[in-house]
Amino acid sequence: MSTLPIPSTRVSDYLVRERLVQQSQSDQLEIFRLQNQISTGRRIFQPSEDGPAALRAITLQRSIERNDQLQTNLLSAKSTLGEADTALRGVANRINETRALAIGSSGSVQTDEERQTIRTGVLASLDQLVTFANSRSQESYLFAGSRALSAPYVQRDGYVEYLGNEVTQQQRVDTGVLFDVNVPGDEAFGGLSEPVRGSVDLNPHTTADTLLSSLDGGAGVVVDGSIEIAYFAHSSVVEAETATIDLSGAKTLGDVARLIEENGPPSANLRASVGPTGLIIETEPGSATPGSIAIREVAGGATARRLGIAEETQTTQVTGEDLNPALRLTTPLADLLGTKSAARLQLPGEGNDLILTATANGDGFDGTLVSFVGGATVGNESAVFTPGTPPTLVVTIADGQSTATGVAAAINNIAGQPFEAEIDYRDVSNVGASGSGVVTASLTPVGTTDTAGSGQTLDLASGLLVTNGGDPFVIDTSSAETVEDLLNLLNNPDNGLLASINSSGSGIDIRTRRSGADFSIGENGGTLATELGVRTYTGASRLEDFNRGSGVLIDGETPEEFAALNSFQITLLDRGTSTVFNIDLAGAVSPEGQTSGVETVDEVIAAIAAQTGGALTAELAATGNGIVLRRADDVDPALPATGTFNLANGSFDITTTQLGDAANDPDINVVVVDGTDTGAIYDADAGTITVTLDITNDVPNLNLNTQVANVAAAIDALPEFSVSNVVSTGAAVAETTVGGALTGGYDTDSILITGNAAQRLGFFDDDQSGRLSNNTSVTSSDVNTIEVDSVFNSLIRLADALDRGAEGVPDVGEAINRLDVDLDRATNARGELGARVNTLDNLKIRLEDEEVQLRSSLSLEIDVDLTEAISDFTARQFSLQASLQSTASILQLSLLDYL
Amino acid sequence: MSLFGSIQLGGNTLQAMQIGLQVVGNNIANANTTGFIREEVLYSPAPVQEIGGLTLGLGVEIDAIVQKSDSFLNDRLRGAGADRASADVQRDALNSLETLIGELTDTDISTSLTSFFGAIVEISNGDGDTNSLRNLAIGSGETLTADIRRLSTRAFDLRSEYDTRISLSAADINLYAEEVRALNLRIVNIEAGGALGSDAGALRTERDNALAKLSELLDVQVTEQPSGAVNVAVGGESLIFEGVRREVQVSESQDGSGETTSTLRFADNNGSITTTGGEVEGLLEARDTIVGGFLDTLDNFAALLASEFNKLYSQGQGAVGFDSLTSTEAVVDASASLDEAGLPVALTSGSFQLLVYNPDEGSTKTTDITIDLDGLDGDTTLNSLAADLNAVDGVSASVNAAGRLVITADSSDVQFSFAGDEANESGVLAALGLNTFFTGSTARSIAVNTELTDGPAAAAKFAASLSGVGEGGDFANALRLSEFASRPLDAADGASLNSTYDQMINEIAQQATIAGSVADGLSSFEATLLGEQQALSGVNLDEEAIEMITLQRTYQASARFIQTVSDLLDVLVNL
Repeated sequence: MSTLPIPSTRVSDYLVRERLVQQSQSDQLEIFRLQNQISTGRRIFQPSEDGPAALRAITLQRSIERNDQLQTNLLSAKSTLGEADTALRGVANRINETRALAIGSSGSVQTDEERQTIRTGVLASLDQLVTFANSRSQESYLFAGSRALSAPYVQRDGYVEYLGNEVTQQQRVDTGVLFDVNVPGDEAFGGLSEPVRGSVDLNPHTTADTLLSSLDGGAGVVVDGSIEIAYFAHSSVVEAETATIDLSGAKTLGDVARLIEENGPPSANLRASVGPTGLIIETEPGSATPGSIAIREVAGGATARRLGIAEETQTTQVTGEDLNPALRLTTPLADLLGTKSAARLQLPGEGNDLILTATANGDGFDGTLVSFVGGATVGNESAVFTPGTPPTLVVTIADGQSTATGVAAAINNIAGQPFEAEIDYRDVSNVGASGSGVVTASLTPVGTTDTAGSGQTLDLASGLLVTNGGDPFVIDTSSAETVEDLLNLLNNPDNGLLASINSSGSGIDIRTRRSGADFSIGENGGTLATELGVRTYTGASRLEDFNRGSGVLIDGETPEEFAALNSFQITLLDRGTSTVFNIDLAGAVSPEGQTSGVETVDEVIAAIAAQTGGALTAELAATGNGIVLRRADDVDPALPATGTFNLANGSFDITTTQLGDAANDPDINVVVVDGTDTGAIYDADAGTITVTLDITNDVPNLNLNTQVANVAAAIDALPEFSVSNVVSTGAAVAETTVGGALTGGYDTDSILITGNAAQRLGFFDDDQSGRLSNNTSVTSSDVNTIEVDSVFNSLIRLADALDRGAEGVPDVGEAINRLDVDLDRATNARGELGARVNTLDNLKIRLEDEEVQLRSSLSLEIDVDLTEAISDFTARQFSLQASLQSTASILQLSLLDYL
Repeated sequence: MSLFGSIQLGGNTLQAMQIGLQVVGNNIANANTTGFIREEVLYSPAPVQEIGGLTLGLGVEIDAIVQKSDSFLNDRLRGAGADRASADVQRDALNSLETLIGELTDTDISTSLTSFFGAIVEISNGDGDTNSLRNLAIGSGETLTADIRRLSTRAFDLRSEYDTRISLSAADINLYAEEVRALNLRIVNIEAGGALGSDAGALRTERDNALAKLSELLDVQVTEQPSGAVNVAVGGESLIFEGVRREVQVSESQDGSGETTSTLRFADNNGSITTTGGEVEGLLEARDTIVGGFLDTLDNFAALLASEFNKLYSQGQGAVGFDSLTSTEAVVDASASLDEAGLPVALTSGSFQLLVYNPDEGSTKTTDITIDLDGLDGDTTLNSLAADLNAVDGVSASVNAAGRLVITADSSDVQFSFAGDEANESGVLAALGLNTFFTGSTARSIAVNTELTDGPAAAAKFAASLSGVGEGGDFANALRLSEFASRPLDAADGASLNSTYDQMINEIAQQATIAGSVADGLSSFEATLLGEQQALSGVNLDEEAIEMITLQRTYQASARFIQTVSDLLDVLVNL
């Protein structure tokens, strides 16, 4: 209540009364307000009572509400972490127990029964660890990454598959602070293999649809400003026109190109296209005397530079730098590798220009001659593409009536769609007219493709041959059109794979989810795996990674020993002639006399080629993986031994029925003796064929011929021989012994591979001493498989090794070593959890402190100061009393009383 | 000079004193009458008589009974009353708004906002069944929108109340104007231009009171005529001229949202009345600027919340996808470029992705949908967008007769959803209302998308994920949305939703504070003027008592004079 001035001249009773009433009203109101403040503890009830304080209070109240929420989040995070910690503690204990169990079996003194008992224990641990790994907190699985709604680890066909991902779940524990609240199973237990990293940059093409945000390997190009294009007339160095082009609304390269075309200097008649790797800007296309341009930044911006088209020197055509777009899920597979032919057809007339782009990579479409012939009706245009040199594209149109839109549709309708045709918006001066211009027929070709194509398209027809534990299977990629299609095919749950675009956006990574499985990707007779760079076994594969990391080469004390340990022998048998090639993987001897050995598959292949002198070649397997050893000649089949035997009255050739080297007998006799005609007897040990004939004809009732032919027939009747080329004079033979030799028999050609190094290269198993093959080629098995580094993998391998009895003992040792790594992983994960809980505790204390602070600030703003309020109240009370008293007195005073 | 003449003189004096006493009595009687102006009797010596060489006085005579008033002060008082009335209404309006907003309590919108975003955080905390948590967030969203709607409706009711009061004020204006007009006539008749212009005291008081009432309603200019009548003008237009009055009437207009706006007009020429003070001005200000302005600000706030939240939200995916979806917003012209098709949210070039999910295979097929709005040929229209969507395997899209986009999955084996990123955000999904959380673009229409409230199972559609349908444990979008309230928004020139809200509250608080001080100030000013007016025109009983005694004494003395003269006559008669 404001104080009001008292009139200085006279005072009326009415005013006195009014004022007194007002005064006591005001006092009572104030007393009531103070009473309210005291009883509620609040100083202000409406923001307008103290605007600034109220506003601060609103912010404080919000902060407190927010703080409460954060504390809830924090508690939730803490409980999740606590549960994860409990689960991991069990894991560490279990791994330790299993390890102790396995160490007992790592010697060779155990019986198979004892090993089986231990194996049962190991498998029980496996089951229990899977249970731990599938622990839950409330509804969500603790170790599943962000796939927390379903169990992350699933046992299937003897493998353990990780269905979670690597995402760390986060919670908001402070303003602007996200906190990791789980450890993905992959980090705590292991679950995903190292990726098969796409070793090839798939180099997606830039197209009109390429997003600016996907350029520069996915980092994105921020186009928020303008560029300036200066135009110079033909052979002039004086700037004729300048245009500033605002590109800030552009989202794709196509947007940029169109904005440049629309807003460039009018005389420059710019044509901006999106080439295979970046922007291409031409001045006055089609002119014999084109002017030139320079492209500059505006006011210290970086737009032109970011788009790779900054060009200070005047030029007729600016070819932008490679903008390196990243691979996206929607990138068409046809846009990878190589480049496509393209053309911007400038047809006479307006609104009828077309953009043609080949749908496949390669130079097969380069220089395509495009012509238009009359003869169709509007709406029924057709087009024919004929490959060749040069290729031709003939479009049949309604002369002067067909519109560019109709022509584009006809070209897009060609079976197999060699070209994609679009309307060129550049060719119109008024909005809305694009594509409506008519096309006229012309006998001579009206245009050709002007951007050259290169490279080839992905060999999607062949697919990939994948082994992921168990039998190899083929992933049929023929239906894939985009990167995502390919990933979906790979990620099919049956495959147990995780395929994704790599972090640099240049290729795809493929990993296996199956612990305990050997994983590899090979060609399925084609080239797709290599093109995608996902083949697990390539020329560049390193030998040291082979055999689960134990490598191929073995250390030796001396270069000689090193060479001896790391060589293998190929015995090539050709028509009975055996040649032994020693393949030395020790490699070149360095000047210091040390050898480092070959390091890669390519070097092995080269060593084989060099050291067999061309008798054998080595190459990568066309289907699946491995090294194929191939002999230079064909395989000759085994031959029998033959010999010619000349008797007195004739001769014959004997051929063994047995084939091969063993049939040769350099010293064999054919003995003809007189006696009862019992035919021929072959004594292999003595090397004689004895033919008994009744030469003297002294056996009754026998009237037999005893000619050479009879001898031959008798020998032919033996199962071991056949006789041919019999020459018989007809005269009888005498008892005789004819010496001769059966020669020329040899074994089937073969390749024999022996030596430990060959076994380590996968040519034969460790329980074999060598590999013999009668085929033209021998393929090594894939010993460069990939596996998941996980505790489950270690346990499954341990169980397998135990199952193999004594032979598995070395692998038991290896598995125990791996368990150590698994234990470390689990321990690290626990440590990580502990550290996080610790951080959360600190945050919690801070939040609580903050809350106290906030509440006290809020109290200062809106709560009443009781002392002050109560003293005010008392003061007002007195003031009201005094006021009432004086009112009563004043109202009683009247002159009339004294009359 | 005769004795009779002297008796006559004394008699005149007695009469004059009687009149004087009557005026005093009248003053005393009206000591408590509001607006009463005390009267005073003007005495003057009666004309002199020349007898012989002597000039003798003939006693006293009454010149006039005048009101003790200052017309300039009265004008000022009326002006102050008009200003105070206007300020009072405005202060009340702002206080009512403050009460409606209920800030500093636990039932205000800022609390609803915090609990809504808190509920979204809870989804990402994942403590419990995610579907229930999603449901909770949707429920909080419904509470928030209901609170905003309620506030808007209440404020709208307040606006209607002021409008009704404006409309009712016409009758009051006519009533008081008529009173003034009628009194004008009577005063002119009574005073007939005589005396000192205030003969008809009581009538004048009545008229002053009527004028005071009128000036509380309108800022009127009052000019008194020599005839005793007053002319009253408002905003330069004459309201009362002598005995003629112009009738004031109300014309009502209604806009699309059912908002009625009443305007005061002169009945004769339909000209609108402009006033710079008075209750009517206060009501107009309260209706149009204070409550109307608040409604606009609240609408902007609701639109900002809906469109900007939706932009982020629509980039996410639910635990399940859609099998059919109709855009919540319709376009006027499906073949017009989208930014000119009549959508409530501003659009730019950009792109989004349509994800077609196959739950059996767990695979998703992504398609980029480009939105081209550069104003050059080939801009995206709703029809072309429908065609682009329709070209995607697994879904069909069309524009229905109402101008809404309808997308349906081709078979029950697939579901579809949407994705996008901030760099390429075009705002199309939010503008069309595809995969949005909020619908409506005003405070009165904001609500949660019925796609989400259609039964408990619909909660699974809450777009908490950024990595696709079927990734029920991915809460990246929820995590992002939970910070929305403090995120700087381009659409609000870099301010956040929270600061926009604070600004709204701050404005009301500040205006209320200012209006409170202005009203207090004007009240004091009016009271001061009233004091001055009372000092001049108010009745003081003591003063009147003194006057009364004086008159009584004069009367007694006069009577004694008459007696003395009478005694003289007696002497004469008894001679």
